[in-house]
Amino acid sequence: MTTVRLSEEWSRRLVQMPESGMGYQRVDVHLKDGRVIRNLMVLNAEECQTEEPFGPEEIADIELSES
Amino acid sequence: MLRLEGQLERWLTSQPEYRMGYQKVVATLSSGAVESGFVVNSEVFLTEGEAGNSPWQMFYPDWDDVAREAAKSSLRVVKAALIPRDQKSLRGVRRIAVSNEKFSVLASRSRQRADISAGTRSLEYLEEYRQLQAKASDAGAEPAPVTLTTVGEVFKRFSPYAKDRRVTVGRGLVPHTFGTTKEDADANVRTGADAVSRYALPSSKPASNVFTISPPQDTELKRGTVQPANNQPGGGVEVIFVNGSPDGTVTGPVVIFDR
Repeated sequence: MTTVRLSEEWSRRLVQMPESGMGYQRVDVHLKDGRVIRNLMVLNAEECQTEEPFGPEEIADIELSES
Repeated sequence: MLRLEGQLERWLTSQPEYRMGYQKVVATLSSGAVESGFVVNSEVFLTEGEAGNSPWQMFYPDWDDVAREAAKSSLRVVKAALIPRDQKSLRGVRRIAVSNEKFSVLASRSRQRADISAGTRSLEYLEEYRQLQAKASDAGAEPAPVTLTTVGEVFKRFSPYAKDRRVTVGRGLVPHTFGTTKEDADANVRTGADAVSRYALPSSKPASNVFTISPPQDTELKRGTVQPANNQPGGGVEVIFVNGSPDGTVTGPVVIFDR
């Protein structure tokens, strides 16, 4: 499990979105190369836990997971 | 702070609480005076002035000290009329949450039985676990209806981070932030690791930073029970501040032990 530190811009955006539980959000991360990594945990709107490593600069969009 | 007559203690034990751990009463003292206040633990009477807003917020290192202090007075409470809690304040959501928590506990029990059983018996317990788990799954705060806070209600939020991003610069909360009730936290969480377990947090770090939220009356809230998740049992009370909490309502963090 790798932790990706999100940029301040993404953190600010995530803070505006609902939490999934106390202190965390479950998200889908869309990468610029078209990949979508689903159901990742983001803690405190800043630390994204993933088993499929990516760089913070590769992120095109983040949205809350539906499940 | 006064003791109660023994018979009155026994009677109060069988009567409903006003909130967790205490009853609200109009007490008649052995002097004939009548005082409004609280009976804590069916044992000690506190006048409204002594108790403040919340009797459970009193801090005494030892309950025996409280009882000893009360026993110093020759006055006793000889009679007490219970003041029932307004039914509207016992929101249905709470009753649903408690009811579903029951299924959560039962599910956990079935799971344990399945783990220690073998063959057909184990499969039966697993099936029982799945059914109970399904009943419990409606209990989270997210699908619950919106309710309102009452005067003086206090909430807690546990975080591995001292700088919690859901806490605003003005010391409020942003909308859709989770927390728990002070009662649940006080009764069940002593360490950051306890918080991770009870609130099913995905963090590998203990949630040892404790924020206190004191929202104004009628703050919109959803209430429910934390479902098992993130390899944690859950079972705690969870609340969602639907529109957040205004500036100046969050204090902390106070740091508790990690383990």
